[in-house]
Amino acid sequence: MDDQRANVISRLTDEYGPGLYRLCRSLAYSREEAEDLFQDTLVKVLERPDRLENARQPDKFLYAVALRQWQTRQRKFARRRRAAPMEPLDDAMPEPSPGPEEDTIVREELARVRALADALPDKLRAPVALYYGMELSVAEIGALLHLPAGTIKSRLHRARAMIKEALRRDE
Amino acid sequence: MNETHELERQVDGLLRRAYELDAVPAPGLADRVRKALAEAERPRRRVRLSRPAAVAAVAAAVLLLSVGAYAASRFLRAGELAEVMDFPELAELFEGQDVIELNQSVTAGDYTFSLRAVTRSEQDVYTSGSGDRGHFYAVVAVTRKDLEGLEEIPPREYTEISADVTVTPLVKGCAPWHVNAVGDRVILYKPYKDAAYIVTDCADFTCFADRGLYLGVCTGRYVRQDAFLFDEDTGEIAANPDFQGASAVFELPVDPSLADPEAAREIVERADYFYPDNGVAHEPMLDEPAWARSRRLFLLMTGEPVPGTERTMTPDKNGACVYEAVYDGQEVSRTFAWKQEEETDRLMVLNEAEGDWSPVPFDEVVYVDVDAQPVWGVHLTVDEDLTFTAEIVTLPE
Repeated sequence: MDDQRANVISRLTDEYGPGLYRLCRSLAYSREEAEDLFQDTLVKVLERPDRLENARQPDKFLYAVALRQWQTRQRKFARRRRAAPMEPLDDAMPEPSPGPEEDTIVREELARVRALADALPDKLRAPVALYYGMELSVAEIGALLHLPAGTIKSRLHRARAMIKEALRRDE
Repeated sequence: MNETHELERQVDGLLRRAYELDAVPAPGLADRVRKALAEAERPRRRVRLSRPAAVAAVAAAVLLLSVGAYAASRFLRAGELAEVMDFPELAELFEGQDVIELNQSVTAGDYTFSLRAVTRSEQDVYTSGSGDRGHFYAVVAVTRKDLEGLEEIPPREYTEISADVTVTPLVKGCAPWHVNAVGDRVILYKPYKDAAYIVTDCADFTCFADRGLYLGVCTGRYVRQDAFLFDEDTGEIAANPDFQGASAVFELPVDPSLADPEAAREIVERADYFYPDNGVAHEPMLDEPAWARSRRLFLLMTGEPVPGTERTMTPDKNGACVYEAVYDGQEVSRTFAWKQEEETDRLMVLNEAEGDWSPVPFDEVVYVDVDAQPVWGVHLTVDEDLTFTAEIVTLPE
């Protein structure tokens, strides 16, 4: 393995790994799928490591590659896992803020909201994942998805409305 | 604050917390990935449809071998597919009263396309919600000659099949390049034994039921002008045996009483507006993503170049070309990459936003819209000598 490749791998996993993983987990239905997407993204970047080196915003470059990988996977394998129930939330994961007595109910509600977000059409799901999962601004999401900010805003609004409606039906 | 706003605020807060739950990588993931990447000394090759030149030459003379029940028994029925998938919503959909089971197969060249069933629904099986339009679903099984007899399709070949087959409803009397309703969303791909199953979801087009409906299938990612033959005298549509790929057309026995002439007229008028029937192939019509695409085409057809904005860009040594522009206070940027197919020597350009490779010459508009209306775009062309040219175009006053 040459030095450039080794350096890029190290930089990718150490410097950008947590942020990239967060994006992958925001986009993916499950941790397993997120890990696959994470690895696929890094493999893709390693095909052309010079592009990462030359990128003005390496983190945004990585996000764009991850989004394309996700879009490709969605086209090819869309819905395959949707029928599967959400995996149980990992006990090692951070706890939500309420105390233990509320924990189970809150976690169930949040898991339900996340499942509803994951069931959104892809064109709504990506902005939601970037906005809530990555806490990117509407302008940043627009730049990543090559869409005007107004379109991102309307998609976020539409996504929230769909989730709201689903929650209302649950009550 | 009224109840609606309060609920929306709650949803906003819930979403923020829902995405926080497990956003931390599992312990050891970085190490595992680092090790896997270090072991993979050679970068993985891009998955793409490659075909030896000799085979391509043979495929040019696509032969329609049979229409009917050929090998029908080897494919799953739509309901069986849903069970295999453990997809109850789909199973329910294909048990409904609107289901038309066809189970007809056509072999064209190296491919066999088998239309298993079609149905329509007010509800979106994807979200279980109802929208402002009805949905039309079709299940198509696809096999390729070199994969017959395999228990499972190898992942690479399965990926190629999945990515390279387009399913589109067509209307008798309407040119395929004028009015079509290509699936705006392929909601499910499933390899099962030696077939790939594709379930597509598109706008319900049964408003044309009194004219005659077809389902067209072709290789390629878009409805290709040369995939189908359109008889202008009779309005009939058939697969083109000279298509340099594989295509098939199935007639759909839909009840003519479902027709809605007013809705059909509106669709044709929209198609006339965005896609004048000049015989030029264009991208799909009828569904929402097509509307977005139609804006590009609308600008392409009617846009007026802004003098002095023409730019010629040179791809870098790695085969990438980046275009950025600011006009009227708004930005647009797009990256293009190109490659040469090894077997065919064709030059291909990648549209990163769509994720699709297109042969050069390449011609498209990247549009910018405000409040869902196109305001300006960049007309990008790539010529055979890999000259990348771009100029800003605006809508006429």
